[in-house]
Amino acid sequence: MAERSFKKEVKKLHAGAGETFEGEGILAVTKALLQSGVAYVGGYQGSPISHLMDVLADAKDEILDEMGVHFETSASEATAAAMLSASVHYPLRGAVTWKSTVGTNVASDALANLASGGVTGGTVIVIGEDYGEGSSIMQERTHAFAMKSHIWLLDPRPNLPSIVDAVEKSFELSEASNTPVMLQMRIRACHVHGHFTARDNVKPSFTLAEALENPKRDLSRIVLPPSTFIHEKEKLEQRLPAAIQFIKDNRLNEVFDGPRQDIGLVVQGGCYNTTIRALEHLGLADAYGNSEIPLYVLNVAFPLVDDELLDFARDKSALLLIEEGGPEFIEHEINSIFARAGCKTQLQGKALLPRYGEYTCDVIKGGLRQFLQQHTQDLLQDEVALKLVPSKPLSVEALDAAVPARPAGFCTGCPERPVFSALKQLQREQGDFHISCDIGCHLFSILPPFNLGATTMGYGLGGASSSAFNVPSTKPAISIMGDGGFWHNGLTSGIGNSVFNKSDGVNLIIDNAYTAATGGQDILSSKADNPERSTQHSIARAVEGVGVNWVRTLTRTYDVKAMKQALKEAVTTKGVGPKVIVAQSECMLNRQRREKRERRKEIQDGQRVVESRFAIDGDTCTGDRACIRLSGCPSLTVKPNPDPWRSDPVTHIDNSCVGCGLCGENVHADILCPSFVRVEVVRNAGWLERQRRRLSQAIIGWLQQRAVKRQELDLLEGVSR
Amino acid sequence: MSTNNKQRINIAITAMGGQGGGVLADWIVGMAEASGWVAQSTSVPGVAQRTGATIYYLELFQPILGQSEKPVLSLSPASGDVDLVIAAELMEAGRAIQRGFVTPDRTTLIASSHRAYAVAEKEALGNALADPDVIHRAADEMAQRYISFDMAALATATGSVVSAVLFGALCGSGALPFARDSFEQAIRQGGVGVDASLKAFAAGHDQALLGDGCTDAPRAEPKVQQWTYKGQDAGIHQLLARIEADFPAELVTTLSEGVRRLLDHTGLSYARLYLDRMQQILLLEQDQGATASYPLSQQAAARLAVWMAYEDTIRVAEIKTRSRRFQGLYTEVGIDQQQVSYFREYLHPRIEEVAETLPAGLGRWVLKTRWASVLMEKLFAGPKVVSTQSLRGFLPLYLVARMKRWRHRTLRYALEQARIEDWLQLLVNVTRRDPSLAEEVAQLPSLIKGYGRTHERGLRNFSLLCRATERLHGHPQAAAVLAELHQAALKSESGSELAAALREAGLESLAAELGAPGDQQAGAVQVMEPQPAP
Repeated sequence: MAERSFKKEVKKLHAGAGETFEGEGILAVTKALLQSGVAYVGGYQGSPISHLMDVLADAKDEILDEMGVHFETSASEATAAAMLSASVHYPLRGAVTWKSTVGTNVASDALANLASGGVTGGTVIVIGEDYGEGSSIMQERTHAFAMKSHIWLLDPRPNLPSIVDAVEKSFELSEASNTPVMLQMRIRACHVHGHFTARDNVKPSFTLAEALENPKRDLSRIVLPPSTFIHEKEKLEQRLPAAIQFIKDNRLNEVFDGPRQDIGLVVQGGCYNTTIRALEHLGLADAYGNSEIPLYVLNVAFPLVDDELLDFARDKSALLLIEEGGPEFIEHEINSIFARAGCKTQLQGKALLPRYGEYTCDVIKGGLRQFLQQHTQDLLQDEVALKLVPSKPLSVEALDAAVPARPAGFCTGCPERPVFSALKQLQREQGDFHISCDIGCHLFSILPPFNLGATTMGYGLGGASSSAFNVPSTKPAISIMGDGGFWHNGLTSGIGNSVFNKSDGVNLIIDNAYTAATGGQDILSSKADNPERSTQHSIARAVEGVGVNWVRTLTRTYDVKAMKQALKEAVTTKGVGPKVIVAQSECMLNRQRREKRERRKEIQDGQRVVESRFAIDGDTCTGDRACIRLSGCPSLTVKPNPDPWRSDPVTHIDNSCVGCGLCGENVHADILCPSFVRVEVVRNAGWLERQRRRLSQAIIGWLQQRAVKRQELDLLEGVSR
Repeated sequence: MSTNNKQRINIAITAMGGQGGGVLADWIVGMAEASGWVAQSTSVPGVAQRTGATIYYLELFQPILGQSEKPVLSLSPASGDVDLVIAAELMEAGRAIQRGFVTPDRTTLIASSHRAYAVAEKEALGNALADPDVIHRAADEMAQRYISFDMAALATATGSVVSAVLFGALCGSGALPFARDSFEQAIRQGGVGVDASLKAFAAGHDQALLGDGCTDAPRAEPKVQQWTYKGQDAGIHQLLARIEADFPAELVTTLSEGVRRLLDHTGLSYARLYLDRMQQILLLEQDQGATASYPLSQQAAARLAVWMAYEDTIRVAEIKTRSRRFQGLYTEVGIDQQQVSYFREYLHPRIEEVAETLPAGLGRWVLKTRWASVLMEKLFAGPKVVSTQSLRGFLPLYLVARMKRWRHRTLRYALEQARIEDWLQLLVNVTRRDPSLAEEVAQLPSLIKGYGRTHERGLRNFSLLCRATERLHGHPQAAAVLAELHQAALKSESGSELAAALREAGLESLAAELGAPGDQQAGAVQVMEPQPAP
């Protein structure tokens, strides 16, 4: 079950023609898929399109089944891409989605094969382009993949009507040119809230069952020589011209004319809104997008349409190309087009705009200003008057030293935290290890306060990244993988590889019963009963199945001592091949969501329920915070020391504590201070328990009063310490 | 061509996970749309949905009647183009200012003044808390209007989350052209936790009306207060009279607080010992021609009292079993005393702590004698979870606490007094030679804190710096060097920064001691350290 439910929102997917649809970008994409008569959908979750997968999963019962649309959560992006092969021979429309560029990297083998043979039914890949602010991955562009495999790349303007149109047109373009199409959604566009006018949903005209019952094959579509050589020719001589014709006929790219005819802007669709805002700031456009300077908007980023570009450039002395990210593929290509056609218009791009980084309004404004100053005689010639951002006052400069960085960390009560507490304690005893990390929540162990791990090479590749260290040494390499990465490919690339190569390394698999980092989706080893999927497949059995002899499964990661012991045993055991520790405990966010309601009901029903959280004795805490350096839990925090004679802040546990127990475990495992106390509150305690409590309270109270009297220090109450 | 800024309101919201930033964005969008405005919102989550901050960005646009053209709205804030910044935490307000979203000509900044501390602030060995006034000053200067107060506290008081208080403050600020009804209607439309949200909303609304700037009551800096004893014990009265008689007026408050702590810790004779020791320091300072404020005595009085009131097993047991501590926990956790509850204390005394509670001779013998320490360890040491709300857990701790009348015979007492005497001797020696260095030496005991290994690490650093002080004799900048070493000791647990600083100061041999972990030279005690496995 995913972290966020879209059960309510997916009801909107029934909207018929003429109705106004309101919602987030990803919800609009789903509606557009239904309006396009899609027959099957797949994908792999990851920001920023995780919610698209969640919407689809929640839409399954609501509408996908009744519309005859097959939906699968693919095992990986490669699986999703290969799924599109259903459209090679059959007129089936299919769509898949993933996070790019990482997902595209994983999928590229299947994508290249798909693109070579071409498609019959429309195939669309919705790409969550994770670039710029908020990105969690290396900064690269999907554009390169589109170009090298000849997959058309759409980059629509970031408003819902444009996005919905682009989805529908993508299928048509794909079919018209027998080529798969990528539709790029930037981070903010995925989450944008807006409106569009709905069209009716369309059932697929051809179904997967029909295909299965009437199978077809066409040797010329299969990627085998000599067909491959024909495919290459086809791509350039047939599919490309067909695509360009379609793009022109359907005006997928847009020209927004303006009074200035001597200059123009060429803009990627995704950068349109920011460009308009920059123009508005410069006094060259109004709030409705009416611009002084004409714009040619590339809703199709690849391929480019020569005629349209040359038309737009005609009579203009210079164009500014706003192309985000590098390398500047579009700039190179337009320059080639102009050179071949003998067009004398000067193209400006990365010479005036940064070669890397997100094109924010401030960035585009800077580029525009330079462009206009260089290429016009009248616009923005007065630099000083246009300075919008005042220079930094001293009070703002002081912020640089004061405002702390806020690195991501594990959530309150996260079951992964104790694993890394144990690992940190082990390193203190045994010295540091080489640790290969992986993608997933567990990667936060790289950051303070744990500071563990040296590399992260890709999803599921934690095990594989240690493969070079398969040499005799007193210390083995430790590899970390999450359950998500494990099933994505880690079982073969990491574990299988280590078994085959007789590695002696240690593999730590963090099994929190979900792909937690992407929002809590189920996977093969999920504990949950999922009516749609087959779950509860054991990771331990899987690794044993590929030949691992040393496996330890810990079903309660909060037991730091046991965790430390298992790790110690793993790093000291030799000659048994790869060692695998499966550290199992459910993602606390999901567990809380699941249990909160049950708990409330139990209390209402009068059952005995124990609620617990931790607290700290301010009087025994001396403010060293060794506990925090082993935890980093958001609820384990600090407060200014109430004792005027001690300046260091004291530790404090706030109300968000979920009582996971790690604090107590760390106290015992690392022999910390005696300040931690778990406060248990019993709801609906029974008669006997209440009586026992009353008796002990009476005795305890009497003893406490006696002690106070003897000391006569009750008069000091209220003074700290 | 004119710009249409007047028709548009640009809003940036920065919030951390769990603060309800998304809900707040939805309320604003809902309210604007219900009022016939065009609204767009989007967000850039920090890494996934975890502890990072998420920025929500909204644009509200008031269409001109009869105008069908749709505005082009931006998906990200631009510097100098934000009308309203709402920060759900104080440092996030600072970050918004750093990013240029807050400008004096147009931005209203509404920020909760509470702190969610960052890991770097929390994990430091010393005090690394960011100074909130830096943010307030920048906000006062950069925002057209700045409204700030502790909204997390109001949220807790009203049983809601900070977003509802922020929404109320937004309404109270008058920064949006919508009536209070529209705000409340948006909350009702949201449909979740409506009553609590409305309450929090009202609280936020009202406090925003109090005025601009940070409207929190100023935080009372903890201060030592004059203590007057109202009990019957003649000995205590005598002791307090002695302070007035033997010490200058400037020291009376400080010393009576020290005496109070030591009375609480052990008793009358121990408090007397404290005054004896202080008298020695005062005389010395007076000999040196002290100024009226007696800086050395002030500093030493605090450090000495804190040190003398050290946390041994008896002290911990006493704190854990006191009634006021019980009351404090009830309040902190927010439970009713009548309700059945358990305080499960996580304790892990080591053999060292157990032996140190024994009479000095016996304790030393136990630590030296293998079979005896094994036996004592089996009997008393090791991890324990003890409920002080049940007799079985309370009584043993209560009995340990009562041992304080024999504290002066324990091994720990002997060890601590020896260390304290060493330090006092050092202080005396240094004061004669270099008064400014003495003030640094007076602060060194603050390095000793915590329990078990943490305590040993503190002692190790303390001892190193004491020995460093002796070697710095004659150094022209001795005080500054020692202060630097003190700071370096607070940089990390491993002590690598301290080692580097010692080397820098030309104290190679002391730095070398930090090279071998587990090598304990702290004071007189030989600590048994678990050896790393091979």
